[in-house]
Amino acid sequence: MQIVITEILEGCKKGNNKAQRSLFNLYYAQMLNVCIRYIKEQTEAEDLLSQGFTKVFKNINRFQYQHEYGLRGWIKKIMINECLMFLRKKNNFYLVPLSEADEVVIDDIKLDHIDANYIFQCIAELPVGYRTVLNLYIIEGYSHLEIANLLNIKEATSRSQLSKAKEALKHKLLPYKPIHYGKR
Amino acid sequence: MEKDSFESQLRSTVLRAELTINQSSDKERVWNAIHKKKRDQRKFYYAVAAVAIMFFSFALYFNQEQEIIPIKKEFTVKKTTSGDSLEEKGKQVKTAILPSIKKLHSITKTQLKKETNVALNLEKIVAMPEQEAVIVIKNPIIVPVVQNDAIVNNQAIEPPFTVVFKRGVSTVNSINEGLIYTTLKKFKLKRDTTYFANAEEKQSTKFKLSFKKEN
Repeated sequence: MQIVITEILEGCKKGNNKAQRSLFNLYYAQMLNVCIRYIKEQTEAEDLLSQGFTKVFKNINRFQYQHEYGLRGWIKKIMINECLMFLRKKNNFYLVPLSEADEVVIDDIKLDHIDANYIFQCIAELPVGYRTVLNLYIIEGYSHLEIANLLNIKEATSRSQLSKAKEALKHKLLPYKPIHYGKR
Repeated sequence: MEKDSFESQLRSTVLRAELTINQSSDKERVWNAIHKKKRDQRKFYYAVAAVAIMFFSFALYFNQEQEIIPIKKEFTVKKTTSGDSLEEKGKQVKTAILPSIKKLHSITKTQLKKETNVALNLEKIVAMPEQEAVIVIKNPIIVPVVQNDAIVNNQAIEPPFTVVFKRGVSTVNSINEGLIYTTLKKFKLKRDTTYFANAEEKQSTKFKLSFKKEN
């Protein structure tokens, strides 16, 4: 796998179309999932994906390959930045006022039995502010200070938005009933 | 900050799912969009290159216009009221600069004769009404012949080669040939060989001379 990726990378660095297509095929689905976590609309997510890949191909000469995780992480970071730039440009980065958030606190729920597609869908349905903070903090592992700088909000706001986002997500996940296929 | 159980579960589930979930999407449309952007970028670079080439061509064209080299003020001829023809004025200017050229030749003969002889062909001298008199030097031919052992002992540079001269104040109390000459002195040319130096290109502050051996 590593040899294949290094060959693909070398090809991409030379501007080889086939190599670019291979890299695109390799990471298309994963990166689309990343974009959809941030941007609800699929067509917009796809547009951002194409912009992200254009940047990947443009800057691939600067990338130093060490392992596959590093490459995936680098591409993912570019995609996330594209999404954040889009959200900032679109100026719809509104954060839901705290009073509007659900006040009912739900205990931790188990996610084992919940379908991953459904979780993705629930995350996508969160308001853009909740969704972004939740993605950046829980999934990407950014600190509240970093999120505050990225989104130009206060650190405390990031904390409270995360707390409310978690509650909102739990509310969405709670009614999930697994579909069992088989004899009735 | 430590993540709680829900956060950890969510993170691992999402990261795992990210690798496996296959969203239905128009992959080809995305790929074509990437290609379109690449094509657009290429067009942009071509446009920039075209503008640069045009700019460079214009710059070259205008530099060609500057082939006329103004001479020192002492040779300046103003428009006279006597109604002399331009030819007359040209003759006057020629007469005016002749002593300087002779002086240059005498310097060449006395101080520098063991090193190099310099000859300069002045094709024509033009005086323009209401302007400074100018000397038009078209393809000045300078034939330095090295006779000095001290120069020969240094490593010789094999022609053909090209040297860029800077215009500036002449050091031999003449026009640019003085400067050319003093620059030529620094070259290490082979003994018993005649070199031709031809002006190739003239710009506002510099001009090139290419040197080749006499056939």
